[in-house]
Amino acid sequence: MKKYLYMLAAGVLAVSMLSGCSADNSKNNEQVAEETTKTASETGDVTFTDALGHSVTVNNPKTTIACMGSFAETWLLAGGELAGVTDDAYDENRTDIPDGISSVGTLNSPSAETIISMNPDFVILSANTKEHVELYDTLNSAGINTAYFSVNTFEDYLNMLNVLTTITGREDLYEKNGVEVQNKINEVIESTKGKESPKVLYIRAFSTGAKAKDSTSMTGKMLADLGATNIADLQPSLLEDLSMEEIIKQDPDFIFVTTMGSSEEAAIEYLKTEVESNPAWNELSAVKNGRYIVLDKALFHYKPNARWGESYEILANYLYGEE
Amino acid sequence: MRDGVKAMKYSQTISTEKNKKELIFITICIVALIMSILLGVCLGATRIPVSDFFKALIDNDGSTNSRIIYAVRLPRVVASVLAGAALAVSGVEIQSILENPLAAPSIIGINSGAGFSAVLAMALFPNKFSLIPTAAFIGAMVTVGTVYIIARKNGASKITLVLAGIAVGNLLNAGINTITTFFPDALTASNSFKVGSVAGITFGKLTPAWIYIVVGIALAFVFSNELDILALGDKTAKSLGMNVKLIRFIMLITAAMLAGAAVSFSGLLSFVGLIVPHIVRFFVKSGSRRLITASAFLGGAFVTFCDLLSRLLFAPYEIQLGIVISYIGVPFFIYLIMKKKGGRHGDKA
Amino acid sequence: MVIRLENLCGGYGRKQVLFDINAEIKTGEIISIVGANGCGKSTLLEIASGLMKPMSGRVTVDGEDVHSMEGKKRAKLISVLSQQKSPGVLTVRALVYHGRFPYLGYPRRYTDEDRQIVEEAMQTAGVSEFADESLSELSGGQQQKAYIAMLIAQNTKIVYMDEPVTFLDINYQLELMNLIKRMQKSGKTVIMIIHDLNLAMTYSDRIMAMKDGRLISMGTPKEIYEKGVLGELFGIETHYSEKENQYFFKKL
Repeated sequence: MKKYLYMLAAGVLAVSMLSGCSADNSKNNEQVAEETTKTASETGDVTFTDALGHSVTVNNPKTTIACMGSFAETWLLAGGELAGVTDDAYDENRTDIPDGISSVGTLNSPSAETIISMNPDFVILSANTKEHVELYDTLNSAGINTAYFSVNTFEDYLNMLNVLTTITGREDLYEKNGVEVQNKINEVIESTKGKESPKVLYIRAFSTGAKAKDSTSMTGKMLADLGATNIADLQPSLLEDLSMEEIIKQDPDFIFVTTMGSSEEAAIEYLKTEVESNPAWNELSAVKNGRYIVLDKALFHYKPNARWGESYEILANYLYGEE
Repeated sequence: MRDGVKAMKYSQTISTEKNKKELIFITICIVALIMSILLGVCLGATRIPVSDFFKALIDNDGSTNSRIIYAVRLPRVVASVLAGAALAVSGVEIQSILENPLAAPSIIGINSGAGFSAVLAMALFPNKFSLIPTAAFIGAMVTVGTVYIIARKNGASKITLVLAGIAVGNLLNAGINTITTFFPDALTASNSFKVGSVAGITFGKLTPAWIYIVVGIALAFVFSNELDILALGDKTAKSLGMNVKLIRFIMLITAAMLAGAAVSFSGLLSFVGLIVPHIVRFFVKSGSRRLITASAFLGGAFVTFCDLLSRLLFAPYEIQLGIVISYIGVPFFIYLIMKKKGGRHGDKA
Repeated sequence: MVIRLENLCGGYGRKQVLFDINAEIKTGEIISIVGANGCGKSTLLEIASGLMKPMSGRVTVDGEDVHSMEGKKRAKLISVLSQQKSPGVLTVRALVYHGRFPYLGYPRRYTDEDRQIVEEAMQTAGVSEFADESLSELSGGQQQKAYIAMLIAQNTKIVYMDEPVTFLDINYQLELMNLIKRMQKSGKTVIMIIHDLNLAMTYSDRIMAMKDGRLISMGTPKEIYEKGVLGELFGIETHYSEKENQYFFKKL
């Protein structure tokens, strides 16, 4: 009997080692640099490599679903039409998505079933959202054409717009919503050259916390482009721990805030009770000089897309505008 | 003296009447499983007629319904059945090993171990989602192994197993919190893992977990007699000629394998390993063989049904599977407990 | 058949509890092990029955070392009634069937012979009428009878019992002692730990008297009485009534 048992145990171990090696076949879903190379052929096929490294071919899609509000907007800006969106497209801070588009779920939980049942020829997803990336295998096995994008900076948006306008054939919209915006941004940045670099603190607040963000964040990059010095770059510990001590030490000239989460009030409330209530807060130069500024969610938390130029302009005004 | 017991020789151990009741219950469990599979495939954000399901099974014609079935529903249903059966049978084994019908796989550190490795993987390899199931499984097995080694010094008795399990479990939980403090992104990623869900599952992700589960359930079944004797107490079991240490070890590893495999793709679904065997025990008293069989079917049916509800209740929005299991399982369980208090034998209504 | 305890030393971990036990037990004897609490009776029983390994020395049956026997072989020769039991909802019949475990092959099917043995065992032990009841719903005495039925079904020549009648009502005590006598008549050798001196002296062929881990005396009740062993062990007076053929005790 003992021999029997040992054989059984050995068998199980062998099976496990064999199958463990084969693992599962899903590719590495790491992000690849968003170098989207595209080719447009005579037949209207547009082929490009998406942010997950997959080669995607689209041809005049009639039914398009976008699983993120910002991307839905970008698709519209490229001249496309939407058959389905996620709920965040109708967030109160967003105004550009027309009413009445079918919902495929929430940003963090899009319904694979609903997507498949709508029989789309093109689905736009985010390479930075875990739940989206996880859907790849399921959607792919159902024969759904997916494209993943990763947008953190204006350059990313421009690339994405480029791809999308090639698909829709609307080069004119690329001009209007892309190149012109780029020109505006460059203008704004030019105008800040040569000015003294202000110190800034950029905070992202939500209902249960607040964290400093550095120049790798969307708004952080804008501030850096405009020549500001982000104290979170100087002191990375602020990224995890918004230490009052550290802030006082750095004493930034400006403090910018964006909120995230469903309730803007709750985030502001958090700041009031947890951060601003600290008596040292009122001693900060930025607070004393009225440079503690809450930024518009639509332009500084969500991707501004075609309004990116506006965002840069507003920030530049704060930083270098009239005293 | 011969009491005319026929049919399965196994039924010799109990009276004909009780035998019939048990067989009826097992049949109900099997029917429940079949129903839950059919419902799980046919219902959801869109309704698919049963005939389409069978058509799609025979011939995948690429129609929308067919695609939904193969890409979304079938994998989920299969995953639910596997997870439910595995966790339930694992629960039966743990309860026998620890001689305590209120024990669950989580008590020997399986959940903490799987959770810890999964979160570690999320933190160190942020976008390699394919690593998580393997990490979870390895974590579960290593933890159980560690717990066993700690407890072995004391003959791996049930008390030391539980104590070691609690201690190691606590340590790992602290570890999880430490990791999420230093890698906050892992925190959001770990949330769905901690609650448990089969959303986004594919057949690829179920391999090789399903092998462990099938083998594990088969082993439990083969050793069902040993499980019963183990439950009589160490001394009695030894006096009947059983190698208590070896059997307990095998059962422990099998239970860990089952729970670990299930957790690897479905996350930390708690409760199934506790309540399904317990519910089955109300109706099946003849021993582990039927207990394991019924638990496997009922466990599979239960989780599949809960997953269906998680998709159906607020379509197209989904409530996480683990949440639905708690909301459904607990009240039903309480109902059964209270019902049993009134009657003598807790026979099904 | 001869059971030999040879220079047996045993204990738990580093703590030695048994010192140099030597004894010989023959077929068909009823042996009672008596002694004060903590004298090592349970340890001796566990080692002799093969449940626990000795620190040194050996236990043999007809020359064969009990501890080197393969588990099932030993279980067909020696059965044990422990004090620790966790009954659960098992039915009596199911429990008694487990007594056939050492004889069970693969696949796990009980044969007609098994069934017959089980029914007879339950009959002998007097538990047939509640064969389908859950153990947890029986009284202490009935439970014990059920466990003994399991032992009978296990069909071993040697039976060890650890305090079989302690905590039972007097009627069950007497009933069980008679059952043990019947087991002896069917050819079994019974070695048991008994707390009740009356029962021990009345029902045993020989008595093993233990004190502080040593076997200080082994002999028939009469010999034990004549040597005043019990007085030495417990600090009592032993008296014998010829008329009743009973021993009784008084405080010193």
